[in-house]
Amino acid sequence: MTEFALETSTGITIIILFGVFWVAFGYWLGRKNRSHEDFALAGRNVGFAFAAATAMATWVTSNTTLVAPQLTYQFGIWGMIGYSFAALGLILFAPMAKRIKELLPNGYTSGDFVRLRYGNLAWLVFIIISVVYAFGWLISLGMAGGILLESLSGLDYHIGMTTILTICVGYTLFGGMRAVIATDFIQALIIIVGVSFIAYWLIDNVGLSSIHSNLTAEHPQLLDLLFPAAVMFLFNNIFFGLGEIFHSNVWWSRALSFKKNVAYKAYLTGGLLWLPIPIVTGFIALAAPQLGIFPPSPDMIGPTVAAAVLGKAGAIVVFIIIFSALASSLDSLLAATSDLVTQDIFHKRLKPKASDKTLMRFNRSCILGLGILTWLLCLPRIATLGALLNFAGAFVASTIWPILLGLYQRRLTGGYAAAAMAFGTLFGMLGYFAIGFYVAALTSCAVSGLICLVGIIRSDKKFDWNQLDEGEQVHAD
Amino acid sequence: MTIQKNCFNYRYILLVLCFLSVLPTTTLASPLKLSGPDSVVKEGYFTVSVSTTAAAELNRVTIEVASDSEFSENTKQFPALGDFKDISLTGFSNGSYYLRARAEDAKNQTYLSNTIEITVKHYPLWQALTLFFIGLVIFITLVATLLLLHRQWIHSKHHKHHD
Repeated sequence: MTEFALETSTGITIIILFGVFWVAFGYWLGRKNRSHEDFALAGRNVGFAFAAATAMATWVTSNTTLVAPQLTYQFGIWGMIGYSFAALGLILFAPMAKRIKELLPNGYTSGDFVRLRYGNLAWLVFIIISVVYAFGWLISLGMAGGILLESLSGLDYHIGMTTILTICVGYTLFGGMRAVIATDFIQALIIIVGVSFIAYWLIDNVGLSSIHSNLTAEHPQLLDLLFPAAVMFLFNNIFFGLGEIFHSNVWWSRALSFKKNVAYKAYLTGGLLWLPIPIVTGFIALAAPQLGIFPPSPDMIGPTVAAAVLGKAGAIVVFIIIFSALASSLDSLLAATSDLVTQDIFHKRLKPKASDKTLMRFNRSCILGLGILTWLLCLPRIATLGALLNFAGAFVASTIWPILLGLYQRRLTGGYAAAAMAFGTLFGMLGYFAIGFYVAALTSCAVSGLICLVGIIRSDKKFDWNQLDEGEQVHAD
Repeated sequence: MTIQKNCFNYRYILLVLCFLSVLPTTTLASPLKLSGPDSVVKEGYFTVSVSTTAAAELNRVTIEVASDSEFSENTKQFPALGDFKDISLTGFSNGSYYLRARAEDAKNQTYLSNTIEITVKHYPLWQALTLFFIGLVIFITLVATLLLLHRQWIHSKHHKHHD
C-alpha cells in the first residue's frame, strides 16, 4: 500500500477549514456589492497593495508549484530560470495596463476591446481562442486540485477535485471580484511565506554544496547551460506566458478594476514578486537525486521532496501552499470568464438593454454554470496537465501582436488582426504536432507577427481611438 | 563395459543438472517485467514502468542502470518512491543505457527483471541554438515595439496636456 505524506483525514480537515473560511469571507465581502460593476470589477476602486497581491497570486498557479519543479527535474538549471521568465508577461503587461485603463475607462473585458478595435470577425476568432484557453486552464486547475489531494493524502481524485471546485465557485459566486481580490491577497501572503520557509529549511537541512556535488557527479546534464531541449524550451515558454497574459480577461478585468495610476505599478511589482517563486519551487527538485527521490511522475517531484525533507509538517505546508495557489487562480479565471460571457455575449449580443440586476444575476449563473461544466470535463481526466497547457500555447501566442499593436498602433485593421490570430494558431498547432511543444507558441507568435507587419504596411486607414469609449452602458432598473 | 556405460550416464545427468543450475532462473521465473520508451530519448529524461505477474506483493523496487548489458560498469541504482511502479529518471547524457528492475518479496527473495536498452541522443545543439536565436530576435522586436509605442503615447499625452 502506498504511504502518503498526509493522512486522508488530515487532508479533508484542512480542506473543510479553508473552504468554510473562504466561502464565509466571500459572502461577507459580497454584501458590499451594490451593482454589476461592483460585482464584476470591484467598483473599479482597487488600491495598490491588493492590486499587486492579486496580480502576483493569480500568476502563481498550480503550474508554478507543480510544473516549475517538474521542468527543473527534467531540464535542470534552465528549467527553473526559464520558467521564472514567465514573470516577463506581468512586467510587460504593466505599461499596457496603464494604456488599457486610459483607453477603456468604462470597459469591462478584453473581448470588449477586440470587438470595438477590430470588429466582429476578429472578435469571433478572439473569443474562440479565449474560450479554448480558459477551459484548458480551468480544467488543468480542477484536475491539479484532484491530483494534489490524491498524491499527498490519498483522497480520491474525484472527491478532491469536486471539493476544490465547490469552494472556489462558492466564494466567487457570493463575493464576485471583491472576494477574488481579497482572497488573493491572503493567498499571496501564504504562498510567499510558505515557499520561503520550504526553501530555507531545504538549504539548511540538505545543503547547497551537497546538492551541487551530487548533481555534478550523477546528473551533470541538469547543470549544463547548453542542454539542447532546455535551450529550445526557453523562448517558447516566454511567448506562451506573454500570450496568456496579454489576451486573457483575467488580467484585463484586473487592470480595469484598479484605481487610476495603480495598474502600471501593481503589475510591475506583481511581476517582480513572482519572479523568484519558480526559482525557489524549482530548486526543490534539484535536491531530489541527492535525497534518492525518483517519483513515478515528474510533476509530483515538488510536493514529494518537500514532504520528504520537512516530514508531516512540511506536507501540511505544501498542501496549504498549493491549495492557495490553485484557489487564487481558479477564482480569478471563473470571475473573468463569466464577465467575458456576461458582457461580450449576453449584454452585447443578446440583451443590450439588460438591467443591472439582470446582468448581475446572469453573471452569477455563469460562474455556477462554468463551475459545473469544468467539473464535468474534469471527471474523466481527459489529458495530462502538461499536454493541456502546451496545446494552449499555440492559441494564445497568436494574440500577442494583435493585442499589442491594437492598443497603440492605429493602422492595423480587423481583417489582418483576425488573420494573424487564426493563421498564427493554425501554424502553432502544426508546429506542435509536426515538431513538438517546443515550437508551438514560438511559431504561432512569429506567423501572427508577420501577418500584422504586412497588415500595417498595406493599410492606409487610421483607427479613431474615441470609438473605444462606449460610455456608461448599464440600464438602471 | 556395463560399468563404463553407467559412468557415462552419471556424467550426463551431472552435466544436465549443472546446466539447469546455471540457467537464469530469476529471469525465467521472474514475475518482474520492465518497460520503457521505445524510441530514442531526445530530452535526457524518461519514465520506466515495472509490472509484476506475481500474486505476492514485491517491495523495494529499484532500477539499476549501467552502460553495459552485463551491469559491470558504472551501475547506478534508483529506488522507486513508496510502492509506485513507475519511475521517472532524468539528467542522462548521450549514450546507450541498460536498465533492469530489482525487487524483493516478503521472504527477502530477490527478483530481477528483463533488461531493456534505452538510447539517449539529445537534439543537435545547432538546432536548439537556431530556435533560441529566432526566439530572441522576436522577443527583442516585441519588447522594443512595446517600449517605443508606449513612449510615443506618453510623449503625445504630455504634449497635448501642455497645449
